[in-house]
Amino acid sequence: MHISEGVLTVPVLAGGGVLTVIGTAIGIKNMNYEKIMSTSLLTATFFVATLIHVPVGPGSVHLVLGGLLGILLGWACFPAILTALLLQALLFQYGGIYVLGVNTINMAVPALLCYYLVKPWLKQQGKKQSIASFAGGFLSVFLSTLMIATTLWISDTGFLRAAQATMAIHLPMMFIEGIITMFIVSFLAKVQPEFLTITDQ
Amino acid sequence: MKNSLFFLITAVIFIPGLPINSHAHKINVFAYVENQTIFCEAVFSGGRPAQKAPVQIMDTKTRATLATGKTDTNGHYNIAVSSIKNSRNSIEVIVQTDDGHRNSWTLAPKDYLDNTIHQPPHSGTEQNSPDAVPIKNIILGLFCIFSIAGGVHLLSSKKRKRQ
Repeated sequence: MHISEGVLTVPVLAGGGVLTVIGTAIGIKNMNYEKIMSTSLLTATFFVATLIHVPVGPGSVHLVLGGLLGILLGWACFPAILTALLLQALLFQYGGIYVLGVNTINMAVPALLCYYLVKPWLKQQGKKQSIASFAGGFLSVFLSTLMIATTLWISDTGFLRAAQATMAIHLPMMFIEGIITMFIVSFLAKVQPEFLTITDQ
Repeated sequence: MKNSLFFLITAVIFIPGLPINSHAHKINVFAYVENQTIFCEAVFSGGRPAQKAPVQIMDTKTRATLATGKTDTNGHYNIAVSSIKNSRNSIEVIVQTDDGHRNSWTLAPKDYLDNTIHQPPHSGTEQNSPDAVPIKNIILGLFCIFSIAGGVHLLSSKKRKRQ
């Protein structure tokens, strides 16, 4: 899900950087500072999720949990994902510094979209909450995959080839993410329901 | 408060001497020369071979493409040294998959122009096991995240008290 250094063109990198700065600024402004520790726990979860690999065909994919961050944090997912990706780039050499903006956008924007799509049903109990959280996890990976393909296309890599490659590899991951997000949200709703109200000021 | 936040984030993250020696999900590339043939191995973390991944061999000085190809189902690619067109500079074996994963290995002239079998070249971008993820880097990352959160919480508490 991370694009490596040296793949994208400079205009794409610059555009991604600018959009990330804007999104992060809005995220910091809208962040609920009284629940910063809950936010940091979710950031830490996102940070270590990449270490969980799922072999798929010729390669392997890793958990992302961007959907979980998006539906629980809202706009605050921007600084959370940026922080986690920066630390991954520095400590794991995963992705890169120059491509940080693009990688952040590719994960945070779908996460944010899922927040707006799923939020109305998240606070409801039972099946609606489960379906909503599954949809959030699934859609987040699906949209991120599309954005990665679009990013590669803009950088003169064939869109169809990039879309096919990324979609094929991440299709199983979409379902896995949806299921994991559903279980995590259900668990949090039972034991720590305040996690579902992080975005409430 | 927000200026302090940006400063705090920058100060905590860019702690001097952060160890950058770990490997997570990415493509690992290893190349060596044996019997006048350049062998390339491309593997994703977790050990799975990068199948049918595009390979490009490039002159590091002129940036000219010397050869192209694709890895096989085992993630291997090999090419005779004689196929590389008249290069006397270091060459870079680049593997880039369609989904944005990219990595490379550099071979010095003495590595591929000599007739003997060499030890793995020193200038590569990857070392040792591709699966190594030092626990200390994970702990350091978590420490950074919680430090930032703690700092932000402290600053926001102070601001609330002042108000």
